[in-house]
Amino acid sequence: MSSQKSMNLTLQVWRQKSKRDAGGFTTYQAKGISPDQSFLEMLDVVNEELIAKGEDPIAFDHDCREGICGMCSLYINGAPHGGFPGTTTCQLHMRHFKDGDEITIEPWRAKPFPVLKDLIVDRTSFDRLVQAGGYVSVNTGGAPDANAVPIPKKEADLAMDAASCIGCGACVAACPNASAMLFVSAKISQLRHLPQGEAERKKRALNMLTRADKEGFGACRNHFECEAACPKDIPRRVMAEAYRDFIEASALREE
Amino acid sequence: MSGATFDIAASDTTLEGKAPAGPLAEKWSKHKFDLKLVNPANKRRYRVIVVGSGLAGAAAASSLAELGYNVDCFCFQDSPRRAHSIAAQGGINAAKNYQNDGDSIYRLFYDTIKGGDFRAREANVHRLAECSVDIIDHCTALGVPFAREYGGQLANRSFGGAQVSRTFYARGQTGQQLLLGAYSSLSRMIEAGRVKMHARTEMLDVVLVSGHAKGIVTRDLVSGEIKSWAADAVVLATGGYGNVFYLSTNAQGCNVTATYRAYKRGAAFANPCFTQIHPTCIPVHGDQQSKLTLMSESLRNDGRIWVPKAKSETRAPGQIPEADRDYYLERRYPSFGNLVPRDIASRAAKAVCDEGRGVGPGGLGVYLDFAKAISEKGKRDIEGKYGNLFDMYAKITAEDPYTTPMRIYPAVHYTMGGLWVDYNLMSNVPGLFVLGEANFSDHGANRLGASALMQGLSDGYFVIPYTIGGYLAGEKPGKATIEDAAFGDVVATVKSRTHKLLSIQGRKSPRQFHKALGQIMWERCGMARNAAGLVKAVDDIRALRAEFWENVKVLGEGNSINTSLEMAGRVADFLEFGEMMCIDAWHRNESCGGHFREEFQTEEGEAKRDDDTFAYVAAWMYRGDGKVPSLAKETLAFENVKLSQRSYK
Amino acid sequence: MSEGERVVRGALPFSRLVGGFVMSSVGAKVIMALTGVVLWLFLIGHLVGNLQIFQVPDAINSYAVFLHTLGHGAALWAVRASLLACLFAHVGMGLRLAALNRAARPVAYAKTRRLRTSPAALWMAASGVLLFVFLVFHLNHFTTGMFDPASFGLKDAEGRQDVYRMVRIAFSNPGLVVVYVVAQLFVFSHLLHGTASVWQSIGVNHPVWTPVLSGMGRSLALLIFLGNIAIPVIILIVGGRP
Repeated sequence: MSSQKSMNLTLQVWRQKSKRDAGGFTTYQAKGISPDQSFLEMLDVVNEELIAKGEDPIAFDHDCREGICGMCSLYINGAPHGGFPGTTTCQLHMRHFKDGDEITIEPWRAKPFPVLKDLIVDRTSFDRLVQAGGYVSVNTGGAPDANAVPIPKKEADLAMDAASCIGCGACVAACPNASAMLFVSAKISQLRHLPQGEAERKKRALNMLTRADKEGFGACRNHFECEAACPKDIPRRVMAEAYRDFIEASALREE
Repeated sequence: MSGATFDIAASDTTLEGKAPAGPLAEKWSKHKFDLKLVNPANKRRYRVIVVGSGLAGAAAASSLAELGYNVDCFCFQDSPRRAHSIAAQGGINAAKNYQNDGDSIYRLFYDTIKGGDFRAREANVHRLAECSVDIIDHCTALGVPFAREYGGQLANRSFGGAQVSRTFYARGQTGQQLLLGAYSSLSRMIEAGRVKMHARTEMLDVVLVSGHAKGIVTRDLVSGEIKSWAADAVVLATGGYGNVFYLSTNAQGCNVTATYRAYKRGAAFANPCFTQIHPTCIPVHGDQQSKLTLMSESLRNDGRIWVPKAKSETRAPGQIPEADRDYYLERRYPSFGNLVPRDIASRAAKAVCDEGRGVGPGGLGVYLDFAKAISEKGKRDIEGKYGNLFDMYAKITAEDPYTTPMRIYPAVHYTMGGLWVDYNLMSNVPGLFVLGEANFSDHGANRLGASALMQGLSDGYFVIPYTIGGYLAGEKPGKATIEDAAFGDVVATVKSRTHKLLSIQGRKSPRQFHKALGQIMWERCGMARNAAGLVKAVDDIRALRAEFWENVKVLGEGNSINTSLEMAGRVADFLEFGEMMCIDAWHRNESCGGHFREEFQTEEGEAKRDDDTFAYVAAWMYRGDGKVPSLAKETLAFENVKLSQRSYK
Repeated sequence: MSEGERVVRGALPFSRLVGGFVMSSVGAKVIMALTGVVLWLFLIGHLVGNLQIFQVPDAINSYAVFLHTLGHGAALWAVRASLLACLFAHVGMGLRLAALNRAARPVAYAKTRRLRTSPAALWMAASGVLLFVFLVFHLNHFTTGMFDPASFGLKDAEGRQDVYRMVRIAFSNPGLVVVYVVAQLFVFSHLLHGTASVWQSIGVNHPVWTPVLSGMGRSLALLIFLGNIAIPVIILIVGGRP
């Protein structure tokens, strides 16, 4: 635990009443912030002060506050989740900042992520991407014994690397083109490395990537900002795998 | 002991567990056969509401939709994938016996009953153990990337309190992977049009029509719209109430509102005082802290827990020689050592800290030391097993657990209590089913590690699809509509309450009230409780609640996103619920599992049960605001296991 | 039929490509990668041919005749047509994706900090457009001879077009040399990202070989750059009009 003393910060926060409101930046002071607090706990303090003053608190999404639910967002000082490796906003601690810093806080920006209020955006487009095919189509009941099909550890690990995506949207937020390629590909990659996902491999890539275009996400141009911003370190490999499946499923399909 | 008492009236409701007769191992098969079925063609005429989209909710919603029912699924988060099941780290138990180490369905059943300190219903627990096997098969089929051995077979580890390796895991993210599996099935059913998903929608009340649960009233958290939803049955899978303590490992949004509202509409609330304090959490750092972070108890497989022998110890942990260290779990429980069940490990930590031997700020912490494991097995091995947990710890505390022992302290983690349900997982309100952590059913007074995921999925995938049919088969589909007067009444109540919260315009924020409540609960109804303290707690809670309704400050409007309003509504319910919890804890004059009453302990400081008096489920019935609830008892009959003092020595 | 199948419809090569694959963002990406590779290979060939300027005058002049007469002149036009097709596909896709990407973020961030990408990648569209403008200039300069018809019409001793002298005259002009060198910077920038990321775009990602291939691509981009600027710069230094 650090013994640094508390700090005062200046925040530039995006405030927007509703989807239709134009919105703009408002400046706030965050006073007496302990370096052991998380970024969201710092915002809690600011909000408590706003409530005390009779001002509307800053709305932001958050839930588990341990870096796994993927609900927190925030574009902090020009990067999603603050741009620290493998870190979500809820696990970003104030010891990364110093007394007197100015911090700019913006919502995720992408057409398929419209702002609902202040820093809250609507990410249901991500749900619709999964609905397009991010699953193995089996009903409950009647599954064979789990050990009936051995899966090499290597493959299971590759699947797990991709599966650790928390669906926060940092990849879209970071991408210069607001592309959802890393998110979509993580699911495609997870299931293509498992025998259970093989039957629908091509169809899945085709449908999910087609849906991503339809939702209005941008196109990937290999900047790999997504990979750098991903709090779960999903590798760029997953996108190459998804492209392979897509090419096979569209241009090269035989029927 | 304080002279003050609560006047607890016996409820006139009789609670029938409805566990089928017959040999334990045949009960579920027999029951499945005896349950009435809904004709496949008729299923599409029924509508089911599922509240919550965690393991239990998502599994139930997708499985029911696969069967052909129409499902409306609700969650307050922005996506069903966010439910707090996602945060479970360690694993999921299943009696697969892949390791050939003597596991069996009966052993899992027995361990769970014993681990729960003999306060759970035998038949339910055995069914849970039976279904555990199917869960692993189904989740594997869904593409859950469980850890594998080099030969391609599933890997297992042993986990808190078990002497067999029966825990399946996906790195430190088992809950996440299982939830995303259920979410993927749910997504498939949404795409197929069988499930209508309502995210960012909070259930605020349940609607009864002729005594049956036939719908809910919700608030759209974006537009603020209060809306009615009618169905043929309502399934609550809304999780636990650990946030009554303010600081817990639960997500910020976790709340008791759905189950507490159901309680106020007549559902019995069982064993609310059974809460689990998890031993391996990162200690509190300061008073602005909003949540506690759990680290998987799998850490205890290789980490050794100790405190200095001397109270006055000032040396850094690395400077303290072996002779001056007290590995108190290994000392007190030689056969289980660092792997004793959660309640025991937590209490032992509290005991050494109460003695003044705790470490870190405020003396509220004990060391979890990996030095021995690292020197024996190598850093790489330890990194492979716990790398992500070590990283998380380092991120939060800015200390390196590879070189400095971790500091841990117990924190509220899980609540065994919940709405009372029968063997069909139906509450005493017909048509109201309760699954997962929201019900009370399977863990008794203490839950074993890696069993919460098992229960949520068992309830959702393998129990409710059968038992709901038994209820629906006797119901005409579409009996209730939102035009019924009952819906209008509930909507009016909900609206007036929302209006009330917005109109008080006092001086304290909802968070301040929540913090104050949490302090009372942790102090008086936490790891150790006593009658006088509980009476005091109830007094304090009542005063706090009165102040809340006079002095809470909720800004903004009801017709837009208003996070203060959401929090205020949840805190208001916690303020009533906390009182019921303390009364339950006060009435249970014994120590069992997570419920430790200081007056009832053995000479060695272990929990002392009173099976003659308290081998029952305490189910509380609402009698009106401010009134002590009445008590309905379901006596627990143990036909298969012999009640014994839990011993992990 | 699934959503994706509906979009990527048609059994005939034309309809399956134009109907869906090309219109998808991944398809566009693959086409840009493949056409980019063709143009890249052309650049290598173009450079190797042009380096003959440093040999005796006969070398490049006879090389020019060889190109014009191969297959009775048909080969040159076939290559030109394919290159133009690739160029238009590449540019067309690029412009379409740029428009899509612009639309995907209607409200810009106030502050942005890039974490991993490179300036070359960020300026891909800009370098591409400048490259295209230069290409039009370059074709009019040496292929149609619009700017300096006199030196374009020069003949050598054997009556062939005197490419050697035309180029040397051109690059004795410092202004023109500056234009060509600056243009090569755009080419280099464009190739630097293109050659490194082409593998990812066509779905090739290997932990060992992809970095090697990308590194080779970047090295080649550098060689092309050095080779291409060598021609005007050396000619300027050693003096034109022999």
